[in-house]
Amino acid sequence: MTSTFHGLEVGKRSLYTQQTALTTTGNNISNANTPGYSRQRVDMQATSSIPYPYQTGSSSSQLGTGVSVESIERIRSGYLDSQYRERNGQLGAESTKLETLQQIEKMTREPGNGLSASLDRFFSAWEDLASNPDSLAARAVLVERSEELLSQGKTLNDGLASLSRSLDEQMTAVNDQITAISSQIDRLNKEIALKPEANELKDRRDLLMDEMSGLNAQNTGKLEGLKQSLSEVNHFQSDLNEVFNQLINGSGMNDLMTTGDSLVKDANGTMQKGKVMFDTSGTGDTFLETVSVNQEVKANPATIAASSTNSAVSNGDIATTISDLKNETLSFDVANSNVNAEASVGDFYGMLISKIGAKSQASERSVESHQAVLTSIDQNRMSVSGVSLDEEMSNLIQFQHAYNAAARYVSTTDELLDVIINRMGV
Amino acid sequence: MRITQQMLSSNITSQLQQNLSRYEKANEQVSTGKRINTPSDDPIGVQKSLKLASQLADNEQYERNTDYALSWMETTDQALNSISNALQRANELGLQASNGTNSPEDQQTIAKEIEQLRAEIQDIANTKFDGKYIFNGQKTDQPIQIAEDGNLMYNNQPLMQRMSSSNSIEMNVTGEVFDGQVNLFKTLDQLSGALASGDQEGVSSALEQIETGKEQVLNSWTTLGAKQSRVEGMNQRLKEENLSLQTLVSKNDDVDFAEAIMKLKTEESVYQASLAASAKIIQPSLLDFLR
Repeated sequence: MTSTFHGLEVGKRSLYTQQTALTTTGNNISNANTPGYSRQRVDMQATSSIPYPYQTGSSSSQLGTGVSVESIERIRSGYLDSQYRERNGQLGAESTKLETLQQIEKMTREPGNGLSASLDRFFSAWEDLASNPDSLAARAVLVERSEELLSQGKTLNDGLASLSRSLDEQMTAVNDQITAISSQIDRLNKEIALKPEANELKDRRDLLMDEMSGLNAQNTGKLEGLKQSLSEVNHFQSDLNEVFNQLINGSGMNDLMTTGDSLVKDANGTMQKGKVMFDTSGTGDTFLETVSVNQEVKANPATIAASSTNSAVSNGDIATTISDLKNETLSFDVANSNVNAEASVGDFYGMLISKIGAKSQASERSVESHQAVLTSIDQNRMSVSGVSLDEEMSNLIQFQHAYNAAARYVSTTDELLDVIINRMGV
Repeated sequence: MRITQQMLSSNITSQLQQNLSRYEKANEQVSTGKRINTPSDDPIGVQKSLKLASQLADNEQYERNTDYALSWMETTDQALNSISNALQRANELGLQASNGTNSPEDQQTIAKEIEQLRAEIQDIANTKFDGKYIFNGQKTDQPIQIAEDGNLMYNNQPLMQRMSSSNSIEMNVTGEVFDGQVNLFKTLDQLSGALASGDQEGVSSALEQIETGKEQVLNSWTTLGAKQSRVEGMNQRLKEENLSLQTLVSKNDDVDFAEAIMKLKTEESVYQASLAASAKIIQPSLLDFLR
C-alpha cells in the first residue's frame, strides 16, 4: 500500500530536481565566457522503487518514486588536457625562440643596410686608395668607412648584449611566475582534497596547469625557449666578434699598416711608417668593445700607409694588399663548433646571416605547425567542455516544461487529496 | 562534433589573424619591392644577395679604376703627340738649315726656335694630371729633374691600376720616353749648338739622332695605344658585367610585381571574405528565434 501522500513526495522530488537542472543551466549560461570553465551537467537518477501491492499478475511489480540528483558533474577530457599541455609547452619554447631570432634578424638590417654593405664599402675605400695612393681625400674617405664599419659592428654587438640581458631578466620573471603558479596549484590541491566535488576549483586548477605548461614543462615551455634563445644570442655575438677579430688581427691588416709607408715625411722627405687603423687596446668583455679607430689616423689621415717604399708617394702596394684581404681565406673560430670555418670575411658573415635566417625560418614553420595542432586540440576541448548557448537555451526550455509539469502534477495530487479529505462521505 | 559559441569566436579570431598576417606579408613585398626583407624570407637567397652586392661593388670599383686609367692615358697620349710634333718640327727645321742656302743669321734664328722646342718638350715632361706629374713614375708629387746639360732624374716605377681581382695594368709612361736610346734634350741641344756654330756635320748627326728619338717616342706611343684599347675593352666588359650582375641582383632580390600584386589582391579578398563570413556567423543564436 502506498502512502496517501506518495504523490506529493514524487512531485516535490521532481520540482527539486528540475529546479537544480534549471539552476545549473543558468550557471552554465553565466559562465559561457569564463576562461577554463567546463560546462556542468546534472546527473538525474530515478529514485529506488517500492513494491506495488495490488498486483494481480503472477510477478510482483515495482512502483517508481520519482527522481533525484545523483551528482553535478563537469564535462572534461583528461586526455585532451594532457595533449594540450604537451603542445602548449612546445609552442611556448619555440615561439620564444622565434621572437629572439627575429629580433636578431632585424638588428642585422640585412639584406641591404647591414654590415655586409659596410664591409664592401670599407674594402672599396682601400681599393680607391690603391688606385690613388697619394690622395688625402681617398684616405679621409677610408677613415670614414672604417668608422662606419666599426660602428655597424659595435651597434650590432651592443644590441645583442642588451638582448641577452633582457632575456636574463625575462628568465627571472618567468621563474617568479612559475613559483607563483605552483603555490596557487598547491593551495587548490589542498582545498580540493577537502572538497573533492568542487567543480570550480578543479576548473581553476586546470586553467593554472594550462598556463604552467606554456611556461615550464619537461624540456619545453617558455623557460626552455629563453634558455635556447640566450645561447643563440651568445653564439651569434661571439661569431660577430670573431668576424672583426679575424678582419683586424687574423688578416694581419694592422701589421701591414705599420710596415708600409705613409704620406707623412720627415725633414729629408723620407716617408714615415704608417699607423694602425684599428686601435685594439680598449677594455671590454667582447672584442668589439676593445676596438676603436686609431685617434692618430682620425686626426691625420696622411698617417695611413699605402706605399711599400719610403720614397714614392704613388706606390699603392700596401693598399692593394689590404684591399686583397677582402677575398683572403681566413680561419674563423665558430661558436659551438670544434671545426674552424675557412672563408673570406664577407662569405663567413654571409654564412652567419644565412644561418640565422634558416633557423628563424625553421622556427617560424614549427611555431605555425604547433599553433595549428594546438588550435585543433583546443577546439576539441571546447567542443567537449565549452558552453553552447543554443544547447543551454533548449535545455532551459526542456527543464522549464518539466518543472511546469511537475508543478501541475502536485496540484493534481492536491485535487485528489481534496476529494478524499473534503468531499468523501460528506 | 559539438560546436559552441566560444569555438566559433576563437576560430574566427585566429583565422582572421592568420589572414591578416598573410595580407601584411604580401603588402610588405609590394611596398618594398623586395622579395627578401629579412634573412628568414629566403636564407639561401640572402647569402646570394650579399655575395652579388659585394661583386657588384667590386665591379663598380674596377670600372672606376679603368675610367681613371683611361683619362690618365688620354693625357699621356696628348703629351706624346705634342712631343712627336715638336720632334717633327725640329727635324724639318734641321733639314731646312742644312740645305746650305741659309745665312748665318737665319741659322741663328733656327737655332733659337730649336731651343724653344726643347723648352716645350721640357714643359711636356712635367705634364700634370689630377695634380700628379705623369712621367715621374711613382714619385708623382715631384717633377722630373732636368739639368742644364739635359741629364734627367726620374722615377721609372710603374703605376698600376687594377681592372679585376687578378688583372692590373701599368698605366704610366715614364721618363724613359725622353731619355731612352737617345736623350731628347741633349739631342736638341746638340742640334741648336751645331746650327749656331754652323757645324754642318754636327747638324746631320743630330738629325739622325732626332730620327731615332722620333722612333723612341713612337714606340712608347704605340704601346700606350695598345694598352688604351685593352683598358677600353676591359671598361666595356665591366659595364656589361655590371648590367648582368644588376639583372641577377634584381632576379634574386626583387619581387615579380605582377605576381606580388595578384597575391596582395587575393589576400585582400580572402581577408574581406572572412570578415564578412564572420559577421554573419557570429550573430544568430537560438535566442534570436525564441518568442
